[in-house]
Amino acid sequence: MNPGRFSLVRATLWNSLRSLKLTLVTLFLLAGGSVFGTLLPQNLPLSEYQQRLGPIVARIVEILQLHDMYHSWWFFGLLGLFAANLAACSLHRLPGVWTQITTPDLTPPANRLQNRPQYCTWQEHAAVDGVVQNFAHIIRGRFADVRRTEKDGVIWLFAQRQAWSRFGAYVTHVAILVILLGGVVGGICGFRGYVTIAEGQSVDHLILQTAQSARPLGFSVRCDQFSVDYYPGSDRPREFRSLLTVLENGREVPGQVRVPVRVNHPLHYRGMTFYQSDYGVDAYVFRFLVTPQSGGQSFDLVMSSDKTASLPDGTSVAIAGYVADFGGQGPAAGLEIFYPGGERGRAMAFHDPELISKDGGFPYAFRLMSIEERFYTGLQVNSDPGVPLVWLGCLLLVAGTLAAFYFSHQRLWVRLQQENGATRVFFAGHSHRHQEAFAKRFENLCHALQQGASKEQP
Amino acid sequence: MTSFNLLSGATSAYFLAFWLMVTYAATHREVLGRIGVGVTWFGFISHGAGIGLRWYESYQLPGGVGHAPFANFYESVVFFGWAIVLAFLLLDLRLRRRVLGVFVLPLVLVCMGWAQLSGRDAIEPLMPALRSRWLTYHVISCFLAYGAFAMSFCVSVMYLLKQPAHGDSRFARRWQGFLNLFPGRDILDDINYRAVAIGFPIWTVGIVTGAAWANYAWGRYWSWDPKETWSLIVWFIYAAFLHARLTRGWTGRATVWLAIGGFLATLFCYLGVNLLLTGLHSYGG
Repeated sequence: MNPGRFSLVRATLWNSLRSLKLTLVTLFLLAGGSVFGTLLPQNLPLSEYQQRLGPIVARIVEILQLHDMYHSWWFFGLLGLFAANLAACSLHRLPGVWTQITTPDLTPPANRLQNRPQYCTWQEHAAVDGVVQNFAHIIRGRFADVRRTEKDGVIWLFAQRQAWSRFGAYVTHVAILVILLGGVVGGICGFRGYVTIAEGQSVDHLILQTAQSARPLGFSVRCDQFSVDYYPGSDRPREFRSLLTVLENGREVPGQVRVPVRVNHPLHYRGMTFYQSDYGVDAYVFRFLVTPQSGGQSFDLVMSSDKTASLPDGTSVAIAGYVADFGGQGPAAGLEIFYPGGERGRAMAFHDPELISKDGGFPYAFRLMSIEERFYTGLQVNSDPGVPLVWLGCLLLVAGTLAAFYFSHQRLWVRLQQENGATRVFFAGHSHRHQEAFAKRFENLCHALQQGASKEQP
Repeated sequence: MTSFNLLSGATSAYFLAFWLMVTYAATHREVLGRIGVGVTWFGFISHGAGIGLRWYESYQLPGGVGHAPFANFYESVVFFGWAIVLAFLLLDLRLRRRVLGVFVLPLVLVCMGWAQLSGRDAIEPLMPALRSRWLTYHVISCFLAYGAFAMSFCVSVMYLLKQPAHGDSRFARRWQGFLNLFPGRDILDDINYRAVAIGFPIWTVGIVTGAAWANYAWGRYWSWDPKETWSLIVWFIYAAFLHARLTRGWTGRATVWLAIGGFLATLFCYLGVNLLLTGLHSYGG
């Protein structure tokens, strides 16, 4: 390919990349594609699609990655094209807008002035020098700072307001790029996972969501307590709360002890964020009052349903089963007994002392005092270094769209020409948005200039 | 006086205002239109007071269930109606074309009627994920944008209707008289653009506050939940509308159809997602 043709191809490519047609096409494709993803259930196993839709459609789903459409190669491709289009279009247009604002045309040719949507002309009886002072004063007071220039014996005044609003569109475009960048950074450098911690326990690794593999936290987190708070007099949960403590090398980190973590109030530590997302019952904790049958001091025994407990004489017990309320007489539990010799036996434990059998061949009598639930808390653990970028982008997005649509770049030109001892005034204005509001403003200014100038007549 | 009384009062006012507007459209008597707008203002104030009172009432209930009244379907549809009336009255202050009410008020009446028929006007305690001040910011910005988009839709419909009537029958003459009450097509086109231009940044705020909230509650600012996705679809459509209009100079039918498509997507985002799809936004149940 010769150099001429190469540059032609490059120019054509660039022109289509920056074209608004491409913007509209990508916007419609993104909208249409997104619709599709909300209609087809996402993230099911491929076999599910095969069962529901048949092998051919399932194959299409697989190739186009429609089961995870928003992360498919073609959707990423569309977003990439969208980003490239935004960048190219902004780079193409920004320099022109920049020049227009920083070095405005202070002395436009007469026909350009007359063709402005807001235009009027009249004659002042005073000389140019007298008029110009008044005009500059009025415009400064009612509109904006005035720049004065002289060209070929003609005096020009120029003023502009809210010029920055012209950048709104480009700030919006940059904002979208920053948000997309934030998404990419988060996707590459971040991870998402979860931990489940039983009350009183701690963990030092999380399970990654994508790979189902473990990843060390670099510290450990203990769950001191989990509780569900209900709205009074109803069974609707009001709040799920975990009290978490962060441990570095087994030691509690000051300021990170028994931190309440609730929905909407996560815990941040070393770049990771812990969100309350799940809970459940880990085990039941049984509290017994144990009395030796041979006589002697009673003692407390606390054991959980998933462990065995040892007694002073070498036997151990485990919970075989329980009922929360035994015929209106409080909780009851069935115990499995393991004797030192290897034999097994069973015993019952009740809350009501009347029911407790004094014999039964077992050296201890158990009175069941209470059964309590021991919870585990489920926490979503994220690290997303892209989030600050995303927030920066969101801020720019809001600022950019507001600037672009709620403000307008307004410009005024005054041309003062000597005309037989009097002054001919040409006054023109332009606003890049909200023409109607600006037209009123221009009319008022026009009146103010006409009256203001004559008032100062000697 | 309870919030329910105030809201019922507002519904009756809108109903009356609608028929006043229709009579105005048929008889061209300016005074009827003026009374119609006055009655709409009355309904609007009563409506707003009703929402405010409901907010206050929720804090008076035992059990600390107090919250902004944007939590279930009843509350959301009532607020949707209020946002539409707000947009209409603001537009009327600028434009003074009462006939717009013939198109706007039915939308509002559908909202209010649906709310009352749903029968779920009890103040319900919030589930833990909704207990956040982001709820207020998020919902208010989304609904103000809904109101602006609804205006865009109404003037788009008016734009399509405003064609010279053919024939010389009595009906045709009547119809032509009705159409003469409309603003000119270029004015309708301009209002359409301005409604979208006002709504679009607010909608952007709505999406951003939603993302911020999701990040606090679930640990991800964007999860392609159907509601999120549809809000983005709406954003894409109106972005296309604004670019087509401002940069490519589209006007007339093309932008009008784009605006109608945008509002249908908005409605689907608001209602369809909850009624037909599943997701994180629970008030549709």
